[in-house]
Amino acid sequence: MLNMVKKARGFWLKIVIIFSVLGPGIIAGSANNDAGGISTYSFAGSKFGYTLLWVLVINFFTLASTQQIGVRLGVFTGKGLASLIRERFGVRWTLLAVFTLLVANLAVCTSEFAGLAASLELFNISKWIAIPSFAVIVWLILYKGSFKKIERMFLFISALFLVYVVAAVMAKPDWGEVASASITPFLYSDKAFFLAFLGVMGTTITPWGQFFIQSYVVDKGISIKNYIIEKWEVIFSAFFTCFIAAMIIVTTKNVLFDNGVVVDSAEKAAMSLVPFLGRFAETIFGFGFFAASLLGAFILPLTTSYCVCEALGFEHGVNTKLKDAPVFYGLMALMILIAAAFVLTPIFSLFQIMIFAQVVNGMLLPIILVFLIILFNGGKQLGLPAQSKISSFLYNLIIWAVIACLTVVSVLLVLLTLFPNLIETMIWWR
Amino acid sequence: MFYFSSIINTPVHDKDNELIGRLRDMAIESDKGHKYPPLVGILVKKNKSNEEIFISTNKIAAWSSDSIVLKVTADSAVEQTPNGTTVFLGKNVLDRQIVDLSGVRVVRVNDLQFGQVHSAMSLLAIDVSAAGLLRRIGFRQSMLGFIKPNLLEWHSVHIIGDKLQLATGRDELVRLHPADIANLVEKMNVKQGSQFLRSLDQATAAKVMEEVSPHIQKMMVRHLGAERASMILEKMSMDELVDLIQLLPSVESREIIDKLPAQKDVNRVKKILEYDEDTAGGLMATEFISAHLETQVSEVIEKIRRDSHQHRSIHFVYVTDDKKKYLGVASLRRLIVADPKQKIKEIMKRTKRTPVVNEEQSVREIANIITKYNLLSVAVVDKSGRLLGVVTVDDIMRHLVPNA
Repeated sequence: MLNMVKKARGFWLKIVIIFSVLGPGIIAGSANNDAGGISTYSFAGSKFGYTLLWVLVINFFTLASTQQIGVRLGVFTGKGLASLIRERFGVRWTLLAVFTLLVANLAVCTSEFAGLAASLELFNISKWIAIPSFAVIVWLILYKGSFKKIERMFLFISALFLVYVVAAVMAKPDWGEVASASITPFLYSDKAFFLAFLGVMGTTITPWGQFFIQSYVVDKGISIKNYIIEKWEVIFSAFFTCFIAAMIIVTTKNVLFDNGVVVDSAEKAAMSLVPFLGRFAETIFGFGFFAASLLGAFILPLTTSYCVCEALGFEHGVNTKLKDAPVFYGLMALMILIAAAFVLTPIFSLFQIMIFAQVVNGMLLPIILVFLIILFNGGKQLGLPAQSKISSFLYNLIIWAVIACLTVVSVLLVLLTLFPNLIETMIWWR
Repeated sequence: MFYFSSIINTPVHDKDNELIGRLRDMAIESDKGHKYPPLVGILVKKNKSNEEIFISTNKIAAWSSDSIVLKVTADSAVEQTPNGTTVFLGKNVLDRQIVDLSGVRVVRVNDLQFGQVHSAMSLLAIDVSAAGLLRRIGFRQSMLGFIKPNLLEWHSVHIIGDKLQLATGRDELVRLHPADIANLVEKMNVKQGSQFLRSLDQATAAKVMEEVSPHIQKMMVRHLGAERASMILEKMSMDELVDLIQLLPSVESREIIDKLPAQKDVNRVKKILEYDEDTAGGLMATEFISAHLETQVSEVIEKIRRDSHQHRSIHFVYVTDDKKKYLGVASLRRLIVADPKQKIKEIMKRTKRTPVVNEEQSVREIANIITKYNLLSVAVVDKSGRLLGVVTVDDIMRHLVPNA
């Protein structure tokens, strides 16, 4: 009897530990399923149906691998990715990594502001009012350092997008078709397809998420003791992230693609939820879109500035004062300013900004992944325990394959943009 | 004078102007206590091979960023690579995070500055400025004059979390106020912070721990584990210790209490734990000097001399009767001015003139009393008038201004 009580307590203790560790993976994952993510998946599903589903399977394996490596590096070295790159590769390479991160994150930050504007337009609030006022609010809250408290809100936001799971089931898809599309690689030489491909990859696996997970592990001081739990949390979160993404594609394929509607605005993206939520679709979608964008708009300037200052050695941290850490606060302000200004420029639609931001991320991701895999392979010098040959081989296989794939598609996309008739020319040559 | 960034990869020639290889790293001795530590040698990657050789500084004839020339031939220059206290600057210092002890901040080593001191080539300063960064990617110093230099001296920095446990900066570090060290710890991550704390002696570490903000205290204790944490916690004052233990979940706090040594009166910890955090009972310190009313002043002073090391500060002696009932208080000033043969009851301020509080009164009420009567501390008594502890003005201040 006593033994059973003890066992039960052990069980509850474990649950408590899992919940206290639960966080970094799911926060990073659901931050990736932000407004830009929803838009990209909706666009991919409504334009190309199920043909991009297989990419999400690849995404799952990649995300699980890269995030696990991040956790591993963080737990065993106690240093952030930016720090490791600086100490291992020196100033020049650090500048490359930092610049890459800065551009990618600036793109995502812009996409978050575009998401804010798009969601508020659903409620008939003009972006000319929304963007300037939210730029000021975001800056003030970051400046006061009171953001950390609301970080965990990401958990609730990610729960909100569970509506897509129900919506997907209600759309009564042919699940056999879904399953076979998930394991059938499909590429098709079209600029829009390449854009969607890079977008879907770039929104799930981000340079941002990679720096974030490691910093989180380091800052929260997750111990070696909890490493195994954290490893599983990351795998679970990667699955959850990709599962939601797949459900969005399934929903939009059945509701929109089959009816010939291609998503090019938040309004049309919200339409995919009409069969499930009826006339509340737009409101609920708008609310989720708004909340996700707002959280992203906080977290991106903050984490970017944090990583850049960490790598370059400027004073940083939410406990510092403006006078002591001018670069830290200045960079945040600059990012917010550029993002807000870009959203207000009338050249691109809000929706285009959101999708292009993910494409930029996808194109820049290989650079960060190369740093990551080199650090991982040189783990012994950093004091990491030995890794079994099989898992080391698998990590290398997955990550190098993704690096190659993203690079090739990026190059093709650039070539196709510069020379629209490339494919025909190549066929003609033959 | 030259910078690490400008001399790295410089060709190294022997006295016959034969190329030996290129400069890879430079070494100093860390523990000699020099203000400007002299270079002891250089690491050279041999030409057309991957071999790295160590050449001691006394064999070098001339330094410049175009070429380093030796006094001897290549063959006789090579020496055993030293270990132990030798610090290779490129490998162990450049690009690392350091604590700037004079500015109380965490920064990164961007470049290193060298120059002649007493005819020995020495490390003059650590450059943490943006100019240092730009020099590393190929800008010349002459183009960077507009950037304010930010140079730190070797003895005023502490390299974070290095396995070598560089002894540098240790003396400077303990001269900092514990509150400043605590600020530094808060700027590091948990792992760096707890490593840093462990590198201090236990008494200092305890004082620092008291000043760290509660949220970070909690993470540090978790990271250190009960065993190591209790070694630091045992040196903390009782009221701070109790505050910290209150932050932890019951399982963890029990683990810590079990690990505390016997002389830390565990029962007292448990007793204070029962009080609410913002009442006199939760705030009070239970370490104070008390004396029986019939004691002679000279004996009291002797007692203060003897027990002084156990107390953070001593401003007052609390006077009690046979039943530990609180009667009054004698300030140090009164003790010193008094005739040593007087009894303490003759010089103390009686309770009628100095207010006391009971263990359930709130912070606000105590703050009011302290302000009204211009007190530095106030005694806490129970219902029968027995002395339980003392609340000082800094306990109150810390409670009212938690983030300082």
